[in-house]
Order: sequence, then structure tokens, then C-alpha cells
Amino acid sequence: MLVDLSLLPSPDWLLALPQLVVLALAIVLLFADAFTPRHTHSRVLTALSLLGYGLAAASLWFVDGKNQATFWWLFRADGLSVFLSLVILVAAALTVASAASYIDRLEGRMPIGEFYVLLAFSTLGALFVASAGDLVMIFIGIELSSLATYVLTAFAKRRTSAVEGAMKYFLLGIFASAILVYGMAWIYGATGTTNLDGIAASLQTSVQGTGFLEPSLLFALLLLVVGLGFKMAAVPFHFWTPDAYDGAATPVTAFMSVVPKAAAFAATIRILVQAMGPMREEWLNLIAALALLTMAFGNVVAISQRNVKRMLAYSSIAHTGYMMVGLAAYRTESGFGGSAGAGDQAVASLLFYLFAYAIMNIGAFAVVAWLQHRGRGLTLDDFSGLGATQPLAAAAMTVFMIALMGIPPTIGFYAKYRVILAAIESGPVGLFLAIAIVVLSAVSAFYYLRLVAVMYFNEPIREPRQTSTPLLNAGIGAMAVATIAGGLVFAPQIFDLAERWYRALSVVAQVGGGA
Amino acid sequence: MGELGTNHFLFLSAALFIIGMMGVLVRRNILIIFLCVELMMTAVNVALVAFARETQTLYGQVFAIFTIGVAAAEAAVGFAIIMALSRRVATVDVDEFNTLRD
Amino acid sequence: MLRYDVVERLHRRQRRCETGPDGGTRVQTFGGEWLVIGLMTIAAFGMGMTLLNLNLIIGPSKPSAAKAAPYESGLPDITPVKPRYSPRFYVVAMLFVIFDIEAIFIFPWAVIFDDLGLYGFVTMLSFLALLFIGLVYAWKKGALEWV
Repeated sequence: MLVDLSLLPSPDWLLALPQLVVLALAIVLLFADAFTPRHTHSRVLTALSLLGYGLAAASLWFVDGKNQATFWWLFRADGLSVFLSLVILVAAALTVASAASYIDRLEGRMPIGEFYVLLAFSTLGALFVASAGDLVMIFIGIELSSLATYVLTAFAKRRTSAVEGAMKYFLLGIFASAILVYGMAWIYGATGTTNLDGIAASLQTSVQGTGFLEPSLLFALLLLVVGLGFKMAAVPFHFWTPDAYDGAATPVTAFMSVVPKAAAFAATIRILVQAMGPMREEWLNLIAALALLTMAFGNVVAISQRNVKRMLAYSSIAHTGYMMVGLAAYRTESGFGGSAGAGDQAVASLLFYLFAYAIMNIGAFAVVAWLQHRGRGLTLDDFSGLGATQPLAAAAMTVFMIALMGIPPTIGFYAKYRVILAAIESGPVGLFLAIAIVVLSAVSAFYYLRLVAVMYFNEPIREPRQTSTPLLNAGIGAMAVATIAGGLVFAPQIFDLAERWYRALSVVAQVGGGA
Repeated sequence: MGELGTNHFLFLSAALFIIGMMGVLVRRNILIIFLCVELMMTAVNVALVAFARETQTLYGQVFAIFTIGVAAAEAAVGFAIIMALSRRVATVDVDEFNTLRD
Repeated sequence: MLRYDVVERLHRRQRRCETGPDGGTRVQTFGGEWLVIGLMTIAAFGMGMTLLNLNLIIGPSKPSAAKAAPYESGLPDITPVKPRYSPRFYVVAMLFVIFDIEAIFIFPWAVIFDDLGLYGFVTMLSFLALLFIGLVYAWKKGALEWV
């Protein structure tokens, strides 16, 4: 029964450098929290966090261009992992920038140290999913990311709504995890391995060889899609989203609308595309149907929301739908050997959308937090007359709203354009989905533009309170500039980076060809 | 099938999973829902170990160990959140506390 | 450069040890009988949901405030009747669950300690070091003090 362990090659630690840096950051933050005096806390921990995420992003340079598995195929370093890690780290750093003053002053003295530590652990979990080469790794990464986010949601524990939202998020989250891991167990039972490439090779053999697909695989697929749907907040598994987003402190909402979602999409790409790519005929239509439901529901319900945070929650559900279109447009044969083909654009467009979504969505939530600093609430009326009293904040919010809507000079337009392009290329179902995106974007314009109209055409209710939030201002400014510059200048470069994801699959090509 | 085969374990696992799932969807008590999810996790462990025996590989057993660890972490976080909620509701509104208790 | 077939080789070795010295690898047939289990799962779930919802649809429902009250007679509670435990109990219970469960990672490691060699030792040391960091943090934050 024992395996000769001398056969195993020793792991390549350099490939896991971004993850190790974030782990070290989490530990350093733990100790800095426990051993530094209270009054310097906020500045020290913010600086450490920004430094840590910056270092981790810089260390992606060592991983870039590689396509290797290490730690006995538990860990992958490839184009997909690099791009997703970049998105996750950028989102984490932006959250830190927008959270710094918030937890210090609002929500009644939240314990600041734990906040940064949990943020780091959630980021670490998401990074692990991005680089996972095995179902076990995906499961642990998702759980690490989710568990930290549950606690972050409950962080403003003096507010009952925060704890209630956290409770709903927690119960539905662990329910989804149980379904997800049951699906993983069935995949393992049908293929005899938990390794993603191993599963792909096994499925490839049965699809090409006998043409017979294990029926239990369909059962496993159903469980996996339900579990991942919960984590992505896809309709009809979205019940937790509005309550959790509304209850959590605003920077936490910004974080959880991006990083756990990125982790869920990373897991979905790894499982459905990398491992279960050979049986894509089975899952493509399922995902397409879910995508249509998700974007239609999110956009329609968002119209009736008066609370801006709830409106952004439903809008984030709608954006999940757009991203799932990118997944549903996956039609490639070239994943198994050969170069990038037309179908590769689909997943690349999803990845690019995730990047754009991270910047514009965190930006929108940061402006909400900015207003909360100035004593305003969360309803639409609290935004009235902002254009007259606070022109810069109103301008930034307008930029984010236009980007979320998908109007030309912004990164949001380019992202939507790429998804639509990939969808049209993929066939009749994709064409239908592309039309749905265009129609529903027009619907979404109603509630995004309503906010802009309220800011510029309504009378100001009162002069906002004066406070200074330098880091938050800088963060909002950077995000607004990135939203426009990303659309005007850098979009093709970022898309090129996203397009390299297909290198993730070339190891399968070696195995699949021989098997 | 005279002896215990993989299918027997899988039936046990499926039964546990369904019991847990029904419990989550039907019961209204937070703690019972939480226990039902733990039951689902146990069902997963049974399935994993059964598959490990069937496929003659060790991945399933390793996976089961990690599942147990994750379930423990979930329990710790869950009880912390339940505690925070019960404190809020108990001190803010007695009527609400009464309705939650059922 | 790592190659996937090493894993495959490990698998084969493992299976050979399981099935005997003749090296005959078992042909793995996953028959349709597993489908039965999947169908049973779906059928059991569907059955349960149907019966429950049938109850809601067919059964008469006349909710009233009196029925929702905790007792059918007597005065309703004014104070919470739950005995108040010290939060310390929960903190200690949480720490216990975490540190108790970590033992299951150590047991399999201890069984094959000899085969793992130095690398396995260092790996487990780093795992324990991470646990220890958590313990130090809990200590420093006062979670271990019994007041």
C-alpha cells in the first residue's frame, strides 16, 4: 500500500511566491495587531497590507510565463492563475485603500486588526483557488476565502442587520459548500482521481474511446453547478446576496462582491473548463440558461431598489450573469493541444470582465463609503444634489455608473464588448445571449442613470459633514482614472494577458494525446 | 451481494445527504440547520471513503480528512456568528427572541 | 519539469500492491448501478419536497396570534428564559474544536513518518508552527484567560 516517496519530486516554492507572501502578510498582521499600541494601529496595518499586496503582485512576475504544476499537482502556475491572482490582489489592495478610515470612524469601533487579518486570509484562499490543480485544493481555497468573508460580514456586530446578513450568508454558504464537495466526491468516484488534469484525461479517454459517459458524472455535474452557482450568486441561488451585501460594512461589501466571486469563477473555470472540458456539451447549455436567468433577474429587480447598496447588490448579480455568458460561449476544441482558437476568447473575455468589474464595482462602493463618512445614508435621496456640493465625488460616481452600464470610453464597455463578441462567435445560443446582454444593458441604464440624474438634477438636501479621508480619496481617484484609462488605452494589453489563460490546458494536451 | 459493497455505503451516504438537505430546507431553527449541514458533510465523507475503496486510490481518504478539518472550522465560525446574533436579538427585542426560540 | 505520468505511475504501483503480485491492474468498470443511487437521491429529494408542499397546499391554514404564542395558556414570557452562560465557554469550545481536529492531520503523518523522512518532518513542523502562531495570537488576545 505504501508508495515509494523518493519518486516524488520536491516542490518548487518559487511558483507559490504570491501565496506565500500573502500568508506571511497575514501572520505579520496578526502579530502587529497583537503587539503594537492601539493608537498607531490603523496606519501601521494599512501600510503593511498595501505593502504586502504590492509585493505579492510584484512576485507574480516570477510566475508569469510559466506553465507548471508543483506540490504534487496540487498547485498550478499558469496563465489563468497569474491573471486571476492579479485581479484578486488588485481588489484586495483597493479594498484596503477604501476601508482604512471607514473601520476607524464608522460602525462603532470595529476591531481593526482582525479586519485586515481576515481580509488577508480571504485573499489567500482566493489565490489558492486561482492556482489550484486539484479538487481538494479548490475546496480548501474556497472555504478559506468564504469563512473569512462570513466573519467580515458579521464584523459590524453592533448592528443587528450585519449579523443577520452574515447568518444568512453563512448558512447558505456552508450549504452550498456541502453540495459542492458532494459533487467533487462523485467526480472522484467516476474518474478515480481528484487531480484536474487527471479527470480531464480520464473523461477525454471515455469520450473519445467508448463515447460512453458515466451517468453518475451528470449527477456530479448538477451538484457542482448548484454549489458553484451559490458561490457566484447566480440566480436561482442568489438569496443571500442582497441581505449580506446590505448588512455588511460598505468596504466589506465591496470586497465580497469581488474577491469571493473571483474565487468562485476561478473554481468554475478550473473545474468545468479544465477538468470537465471534455464533457462541455453537457454543461454549456446549463450555464447558458443560468446566465440568462441571472442577468435578467438581477437587472429587473435592481430597478425597484431605493437603497443604493441593495441596488448595487442586484447589479452585481446581473454582472455575474454577463460573466457566465463568457463561460457559456466556450466552444473550443483547441484546449486539448494546439494554439488558442476562437473559443479561447470566451474564457479570456470572462477574465477581462472580472478585472473590469473589480475596478468599477469597488469604485462604486468606495463612493458610497465616502458619502457615509460625510454623514449621509444609503438611499437614493442621500445622493441628491451631490453634483452641486461635491462635484468630484459625483463625477467619480458617474464614471463608475457609466462603466457598469457599459458605455464606450470606459473599461466596462470594452469588457462587455469582448463578452458579446465571444458569445456571437460561439453559435446560435451565444447569439441569443449576446442579444440578451444588449437588451438588458439598456434596462440597466435605467437604474444606473437614475442615480446620476439624482446627483445632478435634484436639489441638495443639506451640506455634507466635513471630514478628510485622504487614502479613500486617492483610491477613488485611482479607480476612476483606471476605469477610463483602462477603456481608452490599456484594454488591449490587459486582454492579451487574459488571453494567455489557455496555457493552463496544455499539460492536458500531453496526457490527452497519449491516453 | 452477500457482503458489504461500495453501493451500500453510497446508499448510506445518499440517505444521509438527503436527510441533511431536507433538514436545511425545512427546519427554521438556526442550530438545527447548522447540524443538518454537518450531516451533509458527514455524508460526503462516507461517499469519499467508499469511493476510495472502490477505486483503490488514496485521494478519497485524504480528501475526507480535509473535509473534516473544514467542517470543524465552519463550526467555530458558525457558533461565533450564532452567538453574536443571539446576543443582539436577546438584548434588543424580547418579542423577537421569543419568535426565534421556537 | 514535472510530468503528469508520474502520478499515473504512482497510481499503478498502488493498485498493483492492492491487487496482488501478478500486476494485473483491475479494469475499473463503473456500471450504471451508480446511476440508481443518483436517481434515488433525486427521487428522495423530490418526494420529500412534494409531500411537504402538498401539506401546505391541501391543509387548512388559519394562523392566529394565540397559536403563535409560546404557551397556549398563562402569561407570555417577559424575560429571556435561556440560562446565560459566560462567553468564555464558547471561546474555549471554539479553540478546543480547532486544535482537536488538527490532530487528524497528525495521525496519518505519524503512521508513515519513517517513509516521509526529513521532508515530511519539516512539513509537519511548519504546519505546527502555523498552529502555534494561532495559539500565540489567541493567548495574547486573552482568549485563554479564565476570569
